[in-house]
Amino acid sequence: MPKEKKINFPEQELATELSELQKELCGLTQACLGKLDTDAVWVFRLFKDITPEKWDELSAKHDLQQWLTMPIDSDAFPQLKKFQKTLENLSYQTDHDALTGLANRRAFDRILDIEIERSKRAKTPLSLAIFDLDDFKSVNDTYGHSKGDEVLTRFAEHLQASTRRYDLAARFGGEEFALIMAGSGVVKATQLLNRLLHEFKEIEFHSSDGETSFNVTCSAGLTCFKGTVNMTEKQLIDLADEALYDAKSSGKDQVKVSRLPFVDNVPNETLVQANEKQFLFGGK
Amino acid sequence: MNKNKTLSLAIMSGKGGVGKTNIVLNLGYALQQAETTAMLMDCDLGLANLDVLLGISPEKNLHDLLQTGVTAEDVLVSIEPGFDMLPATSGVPELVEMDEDIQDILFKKLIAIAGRYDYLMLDLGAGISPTVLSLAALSQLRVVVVTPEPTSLTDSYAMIKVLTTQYGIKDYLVVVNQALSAQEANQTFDRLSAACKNFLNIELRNLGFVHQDSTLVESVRRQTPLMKYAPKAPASKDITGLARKIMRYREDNLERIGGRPILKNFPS
Repeated sequence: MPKEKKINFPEQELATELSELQKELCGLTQACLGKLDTDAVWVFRLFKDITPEKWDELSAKHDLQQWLTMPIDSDAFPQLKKFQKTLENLSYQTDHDALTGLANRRAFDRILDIEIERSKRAKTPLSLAIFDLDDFKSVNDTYGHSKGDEVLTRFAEHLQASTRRYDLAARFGGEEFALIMAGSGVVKATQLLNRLLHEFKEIEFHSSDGETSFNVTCSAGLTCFKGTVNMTEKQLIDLADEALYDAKSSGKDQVKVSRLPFVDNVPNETLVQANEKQFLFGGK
Repeated sequence: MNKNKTLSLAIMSGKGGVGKTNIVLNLGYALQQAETTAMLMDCDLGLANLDVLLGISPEKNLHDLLQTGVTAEDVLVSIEPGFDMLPATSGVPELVEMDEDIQDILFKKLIAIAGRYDYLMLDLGAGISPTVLSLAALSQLRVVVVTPEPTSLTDSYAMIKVLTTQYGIKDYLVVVNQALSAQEANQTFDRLSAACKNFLNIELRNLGFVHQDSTLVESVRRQTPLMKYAPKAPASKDITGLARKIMRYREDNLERIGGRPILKNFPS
């Protein structure tokens, strides 16, 4: 819905105008969107005497980043490139955790869903681990939040470095992390987790004043799916969570494996029963 | 579809070491002596034995047949006129489990020549691996080799149970091997048959039995098929009897056999 209105320089007027328009449009879109068959409203404004550089300055100063600009009398390429970069950043942010750079919960949910489907189709194993750093609150309380962030970042780096390219490491939030290991069964996954936990607790952290050093341990809950039973993403996460709880209540700093859904479901329609054997041996 | 009415038989046993490969080889001989033609395929791709029993060491085997450009004829070994075999490999664990792609390559090539023979016999490995089960399901007939030992009986029953429940296969011929007497052989068949009838609701067919025969052990040591080494030995006579029954089955069912592909899923 185009809207005609002349805008005059100077700067303050322009900024006020655009801000008001922005607010107005926000209200407008919320009110109208349900009735329109589109989910976006485009409003165009033509500015004279503003270079892309000048616009960057203005938009930052007056919080007008929602407006995208394009020079019409000079090369549009640099501006388009910037526009693309912005899109890339935004798309990165929707899938990644800002502090650690690991996948975020949203990306994790999407990948886990795909991997469960793959495992069902191909009957390949899929292991899921959930980690929780032990006594993390006391790290924050004793050494400060920035030290806490450093521990989280180091753990994320360590997690990323210890796993294979096709594993997915994610941060659930707080001091909780998760790892999807496609193609790995319980034995391989347990080995990997034990090594990971062991190596992480060897890392020495130092207080900001350099006076004291400390180590952080981690607990992990593991579950494994082999595509043989029907399971939802939530059920699988719950199993790993239960195992994590078990690891915590068993003294922390360890890996615990959940009840394994695939052993409940070994088919027994082909099993030779005791009475069948007796029949073979004795004829009755 | 199967214009020469080739009958395919999978020879199998739940338990290893019951003399399956000897039965296959000598059955092939007996069929050849009765002036029919047969091709044997050693389907134990990881640990082949058929060539060893013949005392030959073929240049090429099924492993080569996987290669593009190699045909079944390149790999085929002639044992006697009208009696040929496709040797398998030994010591290639990767080939023990033939996935559906490997099976597809091998059987498409095999089917190109199988129609020249009256009989195609697949010598399957022991056990109930997915490969054994799927090959058993491909064939028109299944011959289960058992011995009177309780272990063999139990393993054979387990194998039949898996094939029946998972693949819906209900027809089996049974050969009792290494029987001390006809009475022992019959008792063995009766037990297996009664259990299958009772628990699986299927009727087994008795193809006959082969006497325990020390001449057979001697023929294996000499790497000469028993039928050739000692055609008059009791076991040789028994096997000739089995071959006759198989031939009669084919004669009686020519029309049905001709209406079905030699191997299911592999139209010739």
